[in-house]
Amino acid sequence: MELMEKLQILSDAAKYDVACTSSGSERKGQAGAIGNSIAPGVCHSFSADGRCISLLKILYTNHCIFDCKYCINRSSNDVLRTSFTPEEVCTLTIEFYRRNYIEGLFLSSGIKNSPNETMSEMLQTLILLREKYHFNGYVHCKSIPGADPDLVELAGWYADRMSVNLELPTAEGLRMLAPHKNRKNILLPMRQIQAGIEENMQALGVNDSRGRYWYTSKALGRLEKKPWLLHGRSAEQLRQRQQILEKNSASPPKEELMESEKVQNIGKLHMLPEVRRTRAGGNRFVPAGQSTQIIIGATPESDYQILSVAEALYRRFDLKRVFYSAFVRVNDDTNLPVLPGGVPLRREHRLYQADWLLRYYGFEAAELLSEKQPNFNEWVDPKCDWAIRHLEQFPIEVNKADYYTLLRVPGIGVHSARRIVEARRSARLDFADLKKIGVVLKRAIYFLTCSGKMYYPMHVTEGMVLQNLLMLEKLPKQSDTLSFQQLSLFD
Amino acid sequence: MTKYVLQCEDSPQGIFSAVYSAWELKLGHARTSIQACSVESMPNLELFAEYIRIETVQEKAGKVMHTIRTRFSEEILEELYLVACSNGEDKADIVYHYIQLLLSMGMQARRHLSDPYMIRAMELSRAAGNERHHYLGFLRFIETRQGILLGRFEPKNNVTELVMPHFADRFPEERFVIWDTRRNVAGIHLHGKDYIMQFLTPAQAEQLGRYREKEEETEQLWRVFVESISVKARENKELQRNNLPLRFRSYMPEFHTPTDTQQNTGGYYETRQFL
Repeated sequence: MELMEKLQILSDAAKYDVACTSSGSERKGQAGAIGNSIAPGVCHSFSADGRCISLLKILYTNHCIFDCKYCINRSSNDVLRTSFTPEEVCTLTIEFYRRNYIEGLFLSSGIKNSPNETMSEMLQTLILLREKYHFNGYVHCKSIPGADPDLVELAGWYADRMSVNLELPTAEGLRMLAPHKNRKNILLPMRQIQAGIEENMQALGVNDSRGRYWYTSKALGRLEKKPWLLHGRSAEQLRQRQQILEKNSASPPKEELMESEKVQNIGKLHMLPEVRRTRAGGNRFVPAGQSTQIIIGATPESDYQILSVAEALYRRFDLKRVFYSAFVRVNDDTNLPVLPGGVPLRREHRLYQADWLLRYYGFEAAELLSEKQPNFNEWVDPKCDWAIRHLEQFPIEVNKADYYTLLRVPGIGVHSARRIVEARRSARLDFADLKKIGVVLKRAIYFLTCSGKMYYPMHVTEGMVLQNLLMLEKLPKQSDTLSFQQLSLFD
Repeated sequence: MTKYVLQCEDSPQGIFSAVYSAWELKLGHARTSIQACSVESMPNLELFAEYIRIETVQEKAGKVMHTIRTRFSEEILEELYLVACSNGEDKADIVYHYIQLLLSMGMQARRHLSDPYMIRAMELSRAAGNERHHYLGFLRFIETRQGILLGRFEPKNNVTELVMPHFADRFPEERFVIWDTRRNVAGIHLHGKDYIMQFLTPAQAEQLGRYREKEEETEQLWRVFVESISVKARENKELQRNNLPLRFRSYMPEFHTPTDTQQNTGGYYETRQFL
């Protein structure tokens, strides 16, 4: 088969995997080698669906012995099957990389014959790429569920990032749609990689492979369990908030992520020192951390369950990223839902927004959603939604509030919050300054005061804010028209 | 009271030379401003202002940069350099006032975002920095018969010099040229981490040689990949355009089919023919 045809088939088969980031690894170039890596990652192109193309995302083979209901490559599907050879993958990677088409390689695979056989072929490819072709760029490698821990570890010395897909948020869903996979085979390698990264960072005395969630938790004092550092202004509010959090986290969804606690200390790094030395990028084990992916909408879980699982993954497995993949119905199967609204893209978008709130903004899943309100509002983003339901905590004074309090204001993001904190050291800020600094005033004005004054004199109620946010593009024209209310003679 | 406008060459070196002269001439900061423009293109002139042409002197520019690096930080120098490479017409003046503020306020000037000059400096450096970052990904190379990689682009900001270190670090063993076809500025890299900046006209670029015949094949592979990696059910051209505006696409093979070759004059393949 022609290389072009193979590339067509095996990239087509890989496209439902969403992770295509090249971030998290900072590595200088080396004389005699090709490639480097920068921490923020680089997008090289965007495909017609608007998603970033950063890595050469391919399957090693689309032969597969598993029969996962949602997957285009499942064994019961009649599709054209093919495999790359390690040489082919390397040539493609290098030729694309030289022309600056890509930032590196994303290697996944269907399971040919056995997990071990597949994993070792992928591993051969990585070794060839790093050692013969001296490729020093970014490599993301999937870990095949059920592969031998030694193979997983070896791959970890050659890749920048590794990932094992969780696929479905609950074990029940996994049993139903992916009968050959089980939770243990997914969580075990995840734990193993986490332990490896941890050990490697400790040995080198660095801290740079951790996820953003860890840093935010640290800044908020969550790691040391100091609730008094959390957001809030009075002791009473803090106490209430703590109660709400405790109440919510005591109820579900703890589920079997806990199970994996039993396998705490598996997989100490034990590979021979030579392996570590020959690795082109030096002595780092999975320097860009690990990620995972959850399919959204194939099973009936609520947003609250999904987000809680994501939070648990960040907290317990120190993942860099959890990716959400809106379910696309590629197979006709009675076990798969028919979604009347098409691909649930809006839902996926809201989950990503909430994911950022967890990792950068210091929110917790139980704050954003609850048993009573298990799904996100379609129309308003999660942070606005939260703020509207917590008007008692607003308005916030721009010139005084601390960084994490500012972050809770809709329309203020990590950049503008940082700029506010810096700029107010030399001058008192007003709304005009905020606008220039980059605050989105159309969302923020209901929640802020500058030197004790709001933007307009207005009567802030849930309904009014919601109504104005839905009009979005428009600022309220006159405050007095807004504060009008129909008089009722019978109050 | 006379105002003075120092006119300098439109390059970071030129702007920093003019900053040096602004202190040297002692005309008073309040009534001095700097304008970056070439000698031929006279921008709008102001009445009642005296225009002084400042020649670019490497030594003077070096001194200013050295002062910033040692008295303040490498980071601030980088930001100023980004401003000097940006597309803003007032960039030279912004650099000048930034340095003035730095010298009077010290390091904390940088945070003084309610100052109009500082906020403008932030805007300009952000614009140039963002475009630089975009081109780290969107720049495309083609290989010539002599094995030289040629990357052409038309950035809004003058970012050629800013992207060079990244690519020199990435391809230490490759010979490559990054060529801004609008400004006719090129960065040339032969080996290792060093590179040189030079004017490169289309006529000179011809000497780099014709492109390889096999190049078409690699580009076709890439087109196939970009096509098949997209999920039909999620198609969203608007999002694609937001993330990758059309102005970046002129030299990206995935947005030009080989059949464009005959139809599209002055486009991608046309430009390439003479190479």
